Amino acid sequence: MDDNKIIDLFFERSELAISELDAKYGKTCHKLSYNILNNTLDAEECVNDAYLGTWNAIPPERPNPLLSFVCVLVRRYSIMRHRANMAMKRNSFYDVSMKELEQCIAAPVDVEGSVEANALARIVERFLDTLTKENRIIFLRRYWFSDSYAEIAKHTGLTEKNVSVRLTRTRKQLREHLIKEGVLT
Amino acid sequence: MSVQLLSDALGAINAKYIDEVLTYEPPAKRRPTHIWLKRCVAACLAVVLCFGTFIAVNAEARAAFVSWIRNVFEDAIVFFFQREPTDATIPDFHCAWLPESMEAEELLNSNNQGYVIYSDENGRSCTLFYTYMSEGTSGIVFDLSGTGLPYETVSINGSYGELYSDIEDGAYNLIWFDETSGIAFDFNSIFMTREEVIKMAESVKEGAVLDFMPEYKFTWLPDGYYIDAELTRGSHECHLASSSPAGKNLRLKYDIFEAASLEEQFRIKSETPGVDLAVGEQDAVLYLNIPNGKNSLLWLDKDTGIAFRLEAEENVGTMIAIAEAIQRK
Repeated sequence: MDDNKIIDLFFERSELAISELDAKYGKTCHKLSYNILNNTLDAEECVNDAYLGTWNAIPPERPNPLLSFVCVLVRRYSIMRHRANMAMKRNSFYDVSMKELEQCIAAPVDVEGSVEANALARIVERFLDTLTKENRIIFLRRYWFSDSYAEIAKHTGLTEKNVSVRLTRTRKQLREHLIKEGVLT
Repeated sequence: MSVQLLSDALGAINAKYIDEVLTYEPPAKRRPTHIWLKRCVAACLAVVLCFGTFIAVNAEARAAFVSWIRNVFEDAIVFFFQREPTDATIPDFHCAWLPESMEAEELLNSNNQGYVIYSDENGRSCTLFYTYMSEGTSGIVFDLSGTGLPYETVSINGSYGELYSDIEDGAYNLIWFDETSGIAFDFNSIFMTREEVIKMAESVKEGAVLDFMPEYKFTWLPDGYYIDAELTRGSHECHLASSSPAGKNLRLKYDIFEAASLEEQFRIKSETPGVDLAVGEQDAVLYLNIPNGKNSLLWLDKDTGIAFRLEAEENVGTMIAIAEAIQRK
């Protein structure tokens, strides 16, 4: 079903909206959540939370594109759940990808310890704009969607090795960008 | 800055970036003729530029020439491999020497290539990648972003190698070619010293990393299924996935049993009703329609202390049969 028709169902407060949304984008949403949580049951619940969030947001929102909007909610709920589960040992693709980023931003002193996430998001956006489209896709596949190297390779048509090398370089560029923007020493 | 903050920031980026990822279509694969043409050009260039001096005076280089060709492009160095393709599965490799506090984080071995990722709590990280130098396999590519990097030739246990360094952050790319085994090794590091890189490379030996989980494999699957992905294999867990043309898929997860119960281990809610069964001589429990649309079969191998979870869209009998056919590699 076309995105606009699904959104119309939300506006009509029809419960078909959720089932149509799930039929069209459920697989992508579950994959994203599972990558973060590494638990199918938790992923299921987070995706359902995201559907509920979508139900509450539409109307008045009319997101375009719809999938990106839902993915943002899925990621948000999944990370919230993940943090609640942090007492458990680290065991998800999200953990692994975040550990890579942690290494990238390691610094003895925080220049802007109180930098807000939204301000940092703008800095990250400027960094993303400096990347080639392909490298931007790879970076976000790894650190937004928490995809494995093998999955990224499949999505991009590159080898895992090439993905690995590109990510290493991109992390280095991110570090340089954060230093240049004054949020890392 | 914490990684949590960076994760939050990523979550707050404009949705246009996410849309770009979701709608991305990779470029069509290069046509074989194009690749062959490029290889011919590469080979000709290598012969014209290097043959007279490089090959004539250097026995190692002469041996290497038949296995690989180093080709410099504007923004990358590509090593084209020349050996006859092999059906042999590449063995596992690991670094026998590691800097203090560094440990293996993730590994993968898929047919003709594999890798091990190492890291430590101080942010230092490296990847050991290895592949057969078979014609038709991907060349190793260094993305130089057009800047060019200094490199030096090195000898790793008698094998010819090239060490590319990026002094600013201690990033190194070390590639060396073992002509005896026909395997190329590529070692990438960040925040490590040259001495550590060389020492780790010289310590590379055949065999799996001992701290990792034992490996298991499907020895039987229902008709139509094929193994399409071995997902991450780490020091604590492993995923093995399989799918069928009909779109059905199954997933095996196994992990060191560390919880009070299998349900806690795999985080199935305690009030969920399960069916008691047996996988071989081991007690098992089946949860229907968990996750949605699939069934989950949980069991514990008491001999090894490994807990298993098999998820599939199959009936009880088939799931038991699949489970009982899972064996150590």
